[in-house]
Amino acid sequence: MEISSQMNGDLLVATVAAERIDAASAVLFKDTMRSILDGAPDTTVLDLDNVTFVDSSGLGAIVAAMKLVQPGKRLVLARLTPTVQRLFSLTRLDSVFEIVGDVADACDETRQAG
Amino acid sequence: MRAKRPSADTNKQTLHVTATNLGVRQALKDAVALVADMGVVAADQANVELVLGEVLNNIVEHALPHVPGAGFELAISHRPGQLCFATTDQGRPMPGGEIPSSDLPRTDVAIHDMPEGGFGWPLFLMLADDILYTRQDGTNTLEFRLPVCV
Repeated sequence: MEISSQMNGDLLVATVAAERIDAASAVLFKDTMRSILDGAPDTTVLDLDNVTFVDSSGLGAIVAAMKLVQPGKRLVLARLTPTVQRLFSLTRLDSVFEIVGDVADACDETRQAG
Repeated sequence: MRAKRPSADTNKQTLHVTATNLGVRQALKDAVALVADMGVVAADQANVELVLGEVLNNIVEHALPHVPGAGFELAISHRPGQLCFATTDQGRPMPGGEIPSSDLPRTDVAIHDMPEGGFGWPLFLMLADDILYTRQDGTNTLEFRLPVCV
């Protein structure tokens, strides 16, 4: 699965190019996130703007990615499309994970935390 | 045994689904196009895709796992305010011969205890109405409805 990553200030921004994180791509997503998070800076932002569909397998893979974050570091979800936002809301994961409207908002959270 | 329901067969359309993850992807694309043609609004199309995704993947993973060349049927019909779905497959029966009840996994736990699965079936139970499962002559039939704006 194509996930491009680039530094944006102190943030590592990982952008999912695919439209779907589903049963067919969940394992690949998790593996790709593992390599991205290996050696990542304190805050990584997962930009989901292109993702129009996530199923429960994809959701599980995103949870798995969260568990790969090293202690003291963060993985922030950004730019969820309405359908994906709804899935997080239905499963109550929206109250567990950091979700921001834009990539820059993750940066603001960093400043507030600091 | 079929349920005592008025028939909605007049506008029924049936899709054949290849029992693989990629087969489900294609079926979801086809099903969404089909309900869009029926006039279902975009927000409800997203709901259809979410619910059908869980049902179809469930069949691939639990009823027909690793059966080369396997497939199953998805029938879709509509009536005022709702879409009616039925899947039929010749795979394994539901555990205990009935629809498993299932709650969402707890997420108010430490990150390393967070569940990576178990969301799909509760989502289906939460979003679908009038769920009916029957097993007859080696065939699983799962019928359910979704409220929609048409």
